[in-house]
Amino acid sequence: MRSCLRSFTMLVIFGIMLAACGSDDRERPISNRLIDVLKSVRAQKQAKGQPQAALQITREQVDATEFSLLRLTVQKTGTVATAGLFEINQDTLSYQLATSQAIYLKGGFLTGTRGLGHDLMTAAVPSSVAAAVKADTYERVHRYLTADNKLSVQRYRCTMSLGGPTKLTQLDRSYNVRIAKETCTGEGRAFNNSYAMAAGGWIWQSSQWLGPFAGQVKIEQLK
Amino acid sequence: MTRARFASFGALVLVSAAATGFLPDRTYAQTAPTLNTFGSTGLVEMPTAEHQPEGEINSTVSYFPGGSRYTLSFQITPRLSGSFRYSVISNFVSGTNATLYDRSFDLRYKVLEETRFLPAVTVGLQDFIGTGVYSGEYIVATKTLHPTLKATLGVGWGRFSSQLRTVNFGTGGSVDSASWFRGDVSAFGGLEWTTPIKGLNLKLEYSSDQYQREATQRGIFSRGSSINFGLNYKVSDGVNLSAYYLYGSEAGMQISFAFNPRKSDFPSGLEPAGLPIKTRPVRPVGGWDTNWLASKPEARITADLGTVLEPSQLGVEAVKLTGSRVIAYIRNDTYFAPSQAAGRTARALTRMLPPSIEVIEVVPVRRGIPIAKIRFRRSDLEALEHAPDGAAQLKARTEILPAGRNLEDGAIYAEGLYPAFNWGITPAVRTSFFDPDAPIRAELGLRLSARYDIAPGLSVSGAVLKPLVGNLDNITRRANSQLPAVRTDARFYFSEGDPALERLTVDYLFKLAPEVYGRVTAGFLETMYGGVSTEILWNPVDKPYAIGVELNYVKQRAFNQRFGFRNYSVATGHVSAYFDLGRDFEAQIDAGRYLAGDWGATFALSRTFNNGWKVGAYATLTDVPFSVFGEGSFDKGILVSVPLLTLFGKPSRDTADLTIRPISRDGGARLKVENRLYEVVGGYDRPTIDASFGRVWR
Repeated sequence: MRSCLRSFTMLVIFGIMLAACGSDDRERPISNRLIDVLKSVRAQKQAKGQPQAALQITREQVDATEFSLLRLTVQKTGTVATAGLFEINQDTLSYQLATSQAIYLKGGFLTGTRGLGHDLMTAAVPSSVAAAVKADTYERVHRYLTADNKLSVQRYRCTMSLGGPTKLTQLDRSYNVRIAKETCTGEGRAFNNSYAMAAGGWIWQSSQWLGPFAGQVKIEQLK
Repeated sequence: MTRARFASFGALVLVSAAATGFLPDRTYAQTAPTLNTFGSTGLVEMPTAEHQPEGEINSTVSYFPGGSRYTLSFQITPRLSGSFRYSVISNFVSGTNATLYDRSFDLRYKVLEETRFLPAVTVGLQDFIGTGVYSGEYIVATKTLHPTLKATLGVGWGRFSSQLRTVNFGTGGSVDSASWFRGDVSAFGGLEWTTPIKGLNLKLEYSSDQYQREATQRGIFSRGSSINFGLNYKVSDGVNLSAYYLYGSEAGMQISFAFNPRKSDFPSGLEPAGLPIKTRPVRPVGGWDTNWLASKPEARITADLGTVLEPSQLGVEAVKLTGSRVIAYIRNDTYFAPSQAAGRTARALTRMLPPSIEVIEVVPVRRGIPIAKIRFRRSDLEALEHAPDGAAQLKARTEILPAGRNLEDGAIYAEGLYPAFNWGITPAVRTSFFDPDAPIRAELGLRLSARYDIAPGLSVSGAVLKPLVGNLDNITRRANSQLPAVRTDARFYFSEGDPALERLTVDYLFKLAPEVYGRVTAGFLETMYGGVSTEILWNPVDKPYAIGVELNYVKQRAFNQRFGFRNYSVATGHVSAYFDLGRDFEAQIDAGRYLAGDWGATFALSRTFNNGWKVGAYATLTDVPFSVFGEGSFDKGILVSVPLLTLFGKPSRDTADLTIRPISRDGGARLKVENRLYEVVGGYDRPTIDASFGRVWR
């Protein structure tokens, strides 16, 4: 509502939109491309009304692929998406969504996002969730882009505690895991993450905080 | 009487202060400052010492029976703000009962920040350039007494006292500093309470503006009391509504919109992720194999790069390969941050280049001209892709160099670039503001524009406008200019150009040296002038400044804007200096000869945010005396650029530009030419690239 109203007032004040045509998309004027943007925003809004279950991946589909797959649920919006492993650089895994966003994971920790509007650009975290469990306390350093293209640095002090054995069921599969709970404070706020960790440190599922605006995302390792 | 009233009002302020108590642990100025009817931060009509957040742009419309005010305010720095106001006051001019349309400018500076025990203090100049209708100065203090209550006390001169100042009808525009802070002084003040109802603030003020001319002399409204009441409701982050009860008899309303270039709903943008880096295997003992060069893969890589950069909305001009180095010449019409365009290109290249290539150079090209060279080491990119401070580390290791005069030998152009024909039909809106007969005039039309790129740097382009609906063609007001009518014949151009050939030029842009650019433009340069325009610009990549020289010989075009000319011609041109002052401030000085043959200089200062927002002001002073110039005394104005698409999270270098010029006259008028070099090649210097380098991994 807030952003809509602001956007609307911007249009009233500065913009007049009408259809136009031309030979090349790059040559098309701002008014014309703005229409495309508004259409896509409307399309997204309409899509939001559809049941997310229809968009979700099945176990058969997972088994049929050769890629490592994640299922992501943005808790604020309820949006569900599937991401496939695209590239590995050192110990960081880049997963790509069909909608062209990307997320980065390192040792079970979410260390970056791209294309969400409020991206976590980088996160300095321990080498893995398993290593964090062994640490007493540790620091998390998050970097976000500001509207004027600077990086703002946020520092949090965190602890990780490991719970007892439990069973996790996820897309028709069950796993023996322990839940590691991470508590972080800093920058005048606190957030909690949780990680369902198998023996050996593999993270089957987690709920991690992206930032003050994007909130929490659930990450399920499907394959 | 007045003083007694104020004394009791002051007592009320003090009692409130005592009642709320000077709590030691309060947070100062916790509630966001609101605006007064003048569009300045304030109470109802009186200012407070508070300021808006840095960078905030407010547009305010207020109405009460004494007049309506349209104000654009900008928080230039945390302590300095400026406003431009257009006021409409009915029956103001004695003898004729004519409506007054008045333009005025304000400046406010916060001398002291609020501390635990001391108030914030601001000194303000209201209507300091203009006819002086609202002219006044003040010193005002505001203290947060309680997180929900702020008290203001001030003293003022001119409008803020009972003393009337002379209004300079007809000319105006000069700065009459001799009368500042002189004459009678009066006190004003008030309270602002943030109510428990979310977004609702109540205001109470004692106004020292006697409205002598409006209320006493002209009887436009009655002013029975100095106490004003106001309520401000914050509808959303960017919208405020206010209602007022004024002078014991009148009601008023106000709406304001706020925008802040330093705030965004999508600070990192919604554009898709760039490609991740493909790392290389460990380097073999004998070194990398470079036999692949024999297969001449340039054309394939040029095409492949074009394909993979398409989702990033980047174009490929050309690619050159050696055994250990690649140069990718790219077209970036999408990202304000050069680092983002270069970073995406470099990462995409890692996915297609043979491993022997270690140096990746990205060269942004505009209008066929290579501008700067951003040189990465591939091993740095591989090592820092996911490093927590990867942007800072990469910045330290990235070189920004001048690009050569031309593309390097052996560069393979992408297909279909030269020659290329582009055209488009777009809606066109033309406006004319501040004509007293119709303060806002607008016209909607269709514009057919086309460009034929013959070779790198060489193009023919033009635009034809067909007006459809509007009221631009019935301007009847005569300009009475004492100078050659170089701009004041605009009404004839509006009414007779149907359709109008707005522009038809041959443009040649080139480089004389790696940091020296040149331009020759010939043809119908703009709606009112045709001729030849030449320019040279020195724009060093590692310096925060640039210097240019422009020389033009132009002839005034016929009003119908076809192929004919009138019999006025002039040699005009400027020496221009561009300065990046740091902290987002840019200055520009253009000194030379203007269209009417007058000599002088234009001084412009702008806050240019590296996300495309720009707010600036300029003034042109020439050897034309103020009396000869006519109304306004000299040319001045405000520039606002808004990156409309990025507001929606979509990457685009397009901006919607608005120039507010209170009065367009013939003195200090400059030729309009497309492709002025600084606009084409600026923004790729080291300071600018560094300022937004945080986007290199976005």
